[in-house]
Amino acid sequence: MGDINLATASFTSVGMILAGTETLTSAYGSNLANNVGWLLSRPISLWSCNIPIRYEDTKLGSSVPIEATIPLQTGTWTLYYSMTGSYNAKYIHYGDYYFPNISLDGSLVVTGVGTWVSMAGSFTWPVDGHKIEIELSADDVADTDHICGYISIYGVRNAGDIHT
Amino acid sequence: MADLTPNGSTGTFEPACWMNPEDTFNHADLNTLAENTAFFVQEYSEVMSAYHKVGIMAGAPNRPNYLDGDTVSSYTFLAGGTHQFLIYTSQGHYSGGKYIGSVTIDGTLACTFGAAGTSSFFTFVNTGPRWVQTTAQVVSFDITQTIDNYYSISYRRML
Repeated sequence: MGDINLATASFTSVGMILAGTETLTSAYGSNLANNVGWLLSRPISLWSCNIPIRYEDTKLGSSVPIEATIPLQTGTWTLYYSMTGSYNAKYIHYGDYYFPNISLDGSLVVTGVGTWVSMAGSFTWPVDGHKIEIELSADDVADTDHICGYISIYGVRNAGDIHT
Repeated sequence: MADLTPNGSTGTFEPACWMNPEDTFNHADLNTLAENTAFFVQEYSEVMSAYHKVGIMAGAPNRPNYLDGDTVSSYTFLAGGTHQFLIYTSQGHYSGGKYIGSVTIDGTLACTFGAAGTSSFFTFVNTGPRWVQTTAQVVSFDITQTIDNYYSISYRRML
């Protein structure tokens, strides 16, 4: 028998309720297994943080560093991140606006400092000990710089990587 | 044989599906397993959970000055197909209430909201796997006030 492949698993609804006289087929069993695999491969929202875009916030009063420990099952994951921020023409602002840097388990994974154009992406990450340590930080920025934005991270299990 | 309807009803999860060695395995047991998987399809995934505080100063006619950013948004990589978004907004302690709020998904207006908040569904059909932006924005009346809102926006696949 083969293994569930999280990358290709799909959800089947058609014909999945058997009448009492129907024969159980290998196709039915495969669909049932793939339904479970599809559920397992869905994205999991891990963490989000809204650092206010506020005129009085300068580095001296910065909200970063921000640290969080997130429970996540041991194994290999694809992590998706989003950092966004904008303000309208009537927003009273001065100085420069940047996103924070994102570090996981002590390693820098996304450089946000120096950027204000909204950004999103993904990368593979090995999780150990059923947790990841997230840190938002900004070093070597001017005191009048604003570190802010809405940051969100979610994860998808890698294909074939199912840990108990 | 009949079909599962993961999004056709609230669905139920039947925990009594564990087989002991002496039990007889039958169609009803399989159908229970199948219905249980359909139950989990109904779970929502979050795209935004945020507290949004906006200070406003009255300015030139109909052009208030914003002391804080007027939008909160996030990007989500969505699979192709139909997604149902559920949008909740509510006001916090400070909120002046004189504003028009809106939520857009992939550039399309999903709902508007005001002081009373909202609980809205929005169906979004994604043409293929890609990044989709969700944005909550407030447009203030020309008065001095503080707006503070809570946003909780999630989606689930429609199968």
